[in-house]
Amino acid sequence: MNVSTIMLIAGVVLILTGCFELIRTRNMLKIIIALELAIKAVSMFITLGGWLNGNMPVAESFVVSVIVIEVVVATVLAGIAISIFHKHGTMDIRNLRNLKG
Amino acid sequence: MNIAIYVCLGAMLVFGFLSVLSRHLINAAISLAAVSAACGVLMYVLGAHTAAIFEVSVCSGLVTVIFISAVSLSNGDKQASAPEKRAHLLPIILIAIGAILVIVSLLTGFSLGTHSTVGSAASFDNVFWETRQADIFGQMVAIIAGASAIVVFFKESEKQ
Amino acid sequence: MSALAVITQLFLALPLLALVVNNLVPRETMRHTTIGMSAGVATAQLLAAIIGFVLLSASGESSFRFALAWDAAKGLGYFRVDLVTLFLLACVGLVSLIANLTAFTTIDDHRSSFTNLLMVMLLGMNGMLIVRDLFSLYVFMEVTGIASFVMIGMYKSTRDLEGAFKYMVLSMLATIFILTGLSLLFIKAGSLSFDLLRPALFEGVVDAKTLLSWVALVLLVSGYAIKSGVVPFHSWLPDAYESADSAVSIMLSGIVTKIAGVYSMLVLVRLFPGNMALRGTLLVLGLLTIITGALLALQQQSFKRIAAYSSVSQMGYILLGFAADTRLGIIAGLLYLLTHALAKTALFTNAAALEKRLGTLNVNEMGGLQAKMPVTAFSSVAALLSIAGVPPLAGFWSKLLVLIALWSAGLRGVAAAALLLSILSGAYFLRLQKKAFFGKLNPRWNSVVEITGGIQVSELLLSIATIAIGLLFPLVLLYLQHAGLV
Repeated sequence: MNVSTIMLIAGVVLILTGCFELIRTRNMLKIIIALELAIKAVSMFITLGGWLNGNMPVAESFVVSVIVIEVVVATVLAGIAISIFHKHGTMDIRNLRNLKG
Repeated sequence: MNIAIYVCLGAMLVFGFLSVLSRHLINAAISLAAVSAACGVLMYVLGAHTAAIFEVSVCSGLVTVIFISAVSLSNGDKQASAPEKRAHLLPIILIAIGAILVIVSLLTGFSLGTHSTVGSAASFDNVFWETRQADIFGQMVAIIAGASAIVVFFKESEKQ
Repeated sequence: MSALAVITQLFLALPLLALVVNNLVPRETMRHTTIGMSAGVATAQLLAAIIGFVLLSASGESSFRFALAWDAAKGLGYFRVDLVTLFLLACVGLVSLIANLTAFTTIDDHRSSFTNLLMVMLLGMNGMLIVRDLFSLYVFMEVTGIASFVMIGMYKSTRDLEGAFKYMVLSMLATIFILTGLSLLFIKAGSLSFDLLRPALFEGVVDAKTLLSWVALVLLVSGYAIKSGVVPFHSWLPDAYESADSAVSIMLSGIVTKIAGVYSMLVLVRLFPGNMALRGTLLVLGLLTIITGALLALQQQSFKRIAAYSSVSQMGYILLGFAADTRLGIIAGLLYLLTHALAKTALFTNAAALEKRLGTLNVNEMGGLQAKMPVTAFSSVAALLSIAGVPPLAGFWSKLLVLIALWSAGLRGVAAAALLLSILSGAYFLRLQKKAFFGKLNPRWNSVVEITGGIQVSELLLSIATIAIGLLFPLVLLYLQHAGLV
């Protein structure tokens, strides 16, 4: 049981937290939080990978790209959420029931 | 060095649970920023210095700003007065999963090895600017896409 | 500088140039001009990809490496095209051309961002097809995804936003899966470049890192399955297709799910040939998808939803082709992708025509429209017969090739099952045809007239392509026989 295994387990727990929250929550903005939480753990995994296999510069470039992409995604998600808020006056996803079948 | 890693991991887990459990969005956002900061420190300790700077400034700073603007733009949310049920069971389940993983890895002798410096001759600058041009191009396009998204959602009129 | 070096530059340069030009001119007044421009970009891409395909196959090389213009001088080559990706680049060009022709009619005057988003989507898909690295593949997949979310929610009506939001949340889940998978693979391999990922990653002594590579493979396949809308990850897809504008549905159904999801699966299949677990998973996913998609399509009332569930169902055949894990299987899957893209694009242009003329897409309210809209009826019958696999249309041959590939790979039971299940797709299409175009004319539509303009042109174009490919397909078979594959 060394430090890398502990980091791996902590990361798995954080990713699961993010995934469960992504599915469970009914607030559209909290979905962004859940996503970001999981992405944090993934960036930690990538850094861990670089630390373990000695390719840290490659890992760093991956992390930087992931961060940039996720910021854009979070912005777009927030934009959609706010547009829906202007329609319904609430951030509750239980109002999203128009599409069925 | 190991102590620093454990402290950062602990902080990430605690603030991660807090951000999921908190009733108010602002608290959740601040907890997320704390997770991000802890992750940044962890990256620094592991030797990813540039990534750590990005993590702290962009994720901990910019994302929180975006998030808080989104919360204030949606001011008057009915949800704020009637927050959703807390997930009391969630952290317990997750801690149990973590404990099971720890036990399994102890029993099976699971080991990923330790720090290696085999291929780290090149610097981050060299690797990023010399071999990852495809990613850089992709990021550029993604930012254009984000800008178009803002135009669509905040500037263009609705369909009549 | 060879001709191929010039042509490959176009795939990124043209959409980028169109983006710049589109944002320089005053847009609100120039909607048709900008859509015309993006149609031009799509046509140029189609031609460039076809010429590139011919040049590359004539040169005998398996792939061609290149870089962005300012890096190419330094001798770098971080992009590559091969015959598979050139084929898919041509498909991207074709479907975007049709989407633009439809957009002339369906996109209203306030949607000046349509061209921007379409060009970003093209850049994303072209990027996915030319990169040489699993991580860059993820970056461009995300670009494609962002463009699709925004395009679905473009009109900002309640339904649009809802479809976009559902798609986005599931996509986020896919992103988490894919990124986790990539990071675990990176721990073992130390790189994500296609050149360095080998089947050997999963062989040898089972240690902790090999175990993580297997977990990574599972996560990657599930992530890509969400992106391609395969059962059991299909729930976002009909919502997104139904709520989006028809021009956007054409892009999504015709090509985006195929590039973002199925091409990524193909990358895995080509990286790790002979991986039995991957093959088995694709088989199971494929069969499940064919059955569930077809059964759900039988229950739908909306024209677009039927087409959407049929997309889900047909995706299964492409996966089955890849699951055969032979060169013939991959070729069969790709040809299936092309014929399905033609047919499904035709169906969504029909949906655009019906929506424009009738204002509804509920098939129960239609009936007998064949008399009023003969071109639409003809093209939808051609598309449906092609999807159902009726000879001599294009869909029949590609389905046959998939079955042959499965049979020769020793998966005879699966081939038989796939053959039986294709009857199901015949069933939901007969139902659709009967309700929409045949039977007694609903008196409500007495004054309906046939659609004109870009939609009619694309309907005709697609029907002709479906029939022509069907009639010329024996030539393809001869070529394959010449190459020793059939």
